[in-house]
Amino acid sequence: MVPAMRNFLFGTNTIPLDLTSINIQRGRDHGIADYNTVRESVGLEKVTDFIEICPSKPELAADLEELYGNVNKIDLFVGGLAEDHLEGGNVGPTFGNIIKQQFEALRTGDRYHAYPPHAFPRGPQRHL
Amino acid sequence: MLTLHTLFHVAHNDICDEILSASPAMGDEEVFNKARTLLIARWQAIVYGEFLPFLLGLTLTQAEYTGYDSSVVPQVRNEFAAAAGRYGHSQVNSVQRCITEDGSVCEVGHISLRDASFGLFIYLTYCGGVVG
Repeated sequence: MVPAMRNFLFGTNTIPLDLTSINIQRGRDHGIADYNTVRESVGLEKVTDFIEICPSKPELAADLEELYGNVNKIDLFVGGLAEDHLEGGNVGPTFGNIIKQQFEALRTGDRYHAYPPHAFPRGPQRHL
Repeated sequence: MLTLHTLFHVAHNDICDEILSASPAMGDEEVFNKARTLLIARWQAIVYGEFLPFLLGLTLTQAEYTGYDSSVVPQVRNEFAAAAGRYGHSQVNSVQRCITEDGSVCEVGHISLRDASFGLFIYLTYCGGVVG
């Protein structure tokens, strides 16, 4: 997160806020489970060591270990963002799977879903 | 968000013009709803065909779409709303790039994000509404 989001969020209009802290607190307010529990619930193996979260970033893993001390107590927002990204992707496996499941549900559970193109056999433009 | 919102308003009107030039006698309501449906399809094509593959990478592919299933609950999961969906907060840039229609930097220069929130007047005054 860039400093403008961490120290100056909406700073022109109110007391500057820290979006990362808000997101961590939001996770706790909503009662969502810890990072490792959610990992398992989306079909991934639980991690047993901090370095498994971000093998390419040992300093980050060390910071997480110092702050949380226990791999089963990590906030989902923090653990999810800390993960090494999927190959060719822009999020780690935990967030990736949550996002994938969410978007699949939004698509398959939507009576009016218009895409993919079989709703418009010759593509949206041609349908005109 | 402001940029996308504006872009899709413009795209909607654009589709309306196309429909009207093909069927000049069509009523307002029908033109609106037809354009709406087509724009939603275009949006969904972008989300599922371009955005998600880019986000999820090579290893995590979407299940094939086989049509509507009434047993699937489309509600937003708490884990998505309160954490995973907010991954985008880490992609926000410190600087809002402001360019004019010909691609050159606009006269006020790029805007620092810390000055930009609720600063719509900056865009409207200096950038002619073109922000990216």
